[in-house]
Amino acid sequence: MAEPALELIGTYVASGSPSSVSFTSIPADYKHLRLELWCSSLAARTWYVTLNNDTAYVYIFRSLLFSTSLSNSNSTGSNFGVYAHRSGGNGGTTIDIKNYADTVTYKNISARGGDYGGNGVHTEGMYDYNEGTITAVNRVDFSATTAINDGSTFALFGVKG
Amino acid sequence: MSLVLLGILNSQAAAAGGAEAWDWLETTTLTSSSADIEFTNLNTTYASDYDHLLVRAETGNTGTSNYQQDLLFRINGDSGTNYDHNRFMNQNGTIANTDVAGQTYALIRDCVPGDGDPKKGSADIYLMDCFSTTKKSHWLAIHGGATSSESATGLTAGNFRSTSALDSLLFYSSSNNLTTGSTISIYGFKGA
Repeated sequence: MAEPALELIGTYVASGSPSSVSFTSIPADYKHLRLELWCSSLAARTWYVTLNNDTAYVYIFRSLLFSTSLSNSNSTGSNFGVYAHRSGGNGGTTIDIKNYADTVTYKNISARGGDYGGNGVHTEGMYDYNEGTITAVNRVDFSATTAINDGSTFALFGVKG
Repeated sequence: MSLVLLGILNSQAAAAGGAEAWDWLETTTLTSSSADIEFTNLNTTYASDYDHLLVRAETGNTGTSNYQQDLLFRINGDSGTNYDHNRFMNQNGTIANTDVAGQTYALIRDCVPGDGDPKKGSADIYLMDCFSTTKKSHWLAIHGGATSSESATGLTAGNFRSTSALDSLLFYSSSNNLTTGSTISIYGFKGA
């Protein structure tokens, strides 16, 4: 039987130039999470995502970057990098965190974004890539190397499946 | 730092209202390994309400390789040379692009972990205008996966050389069976 796939869990609009934003106590009521981000002009270029406030060396990702040419970016490290924009600000990004709520499933992360300058980024990765203990995700943190501009918006959705 | 206290904001979400454009239709999770996962009667069940489908696949195969394998699918059981696709990927740190015509299946590269674990890779496959009888089915897949030995990111655009309305989807791996726990969900999108 069909039922709505997406439910809004919470939103946040940046004010006071925060350096980080956290969604905490995320309910375990859904199959997947979706985050929709939009950064206002001249906001920090790269935002760093961590799950469960975990800053251990447990994130891996591969990116394809599109502008006037194609390039790539590869990393393993203590966070998952998301381009809020690549130049000039006014960028949007969608992040899917799959199977976030259980303790038996590795957490695939998929992000797609674009910006005012016509640049795009597609990133796929995994939390706990070194195949350690699988932990349910109940918190997502965003940080940036510079302040997140006021007016930047964050929306968190639960996805059924 | 700004903390978003979701317990408070849930009440706002409930008040948002509005028509839903994206619905969860059905999910299959394997309770034992199997050669494939098939969805049938899609046209008869969903064509009146939806124009496009999203398939979210999280599958593994029963092999022992710690590398990503491919997810294949067929529309309406068609095994003719009717599937074309173009993809580009970041495969383990290297960019690659491929143009393939006339395959006997649709292919989504490197999103099925080959080590028996179903949840280290995934693919979101958007099937546009799939119930139309005047447009050929086409799809865009956003896919990738990571194991301790290999990771990949990819985008694939594909085409099915038929104007038949989509009624069934058959998913299988490029090698071995699909593992227990492999899960595929189908979502419907409303459109013009």
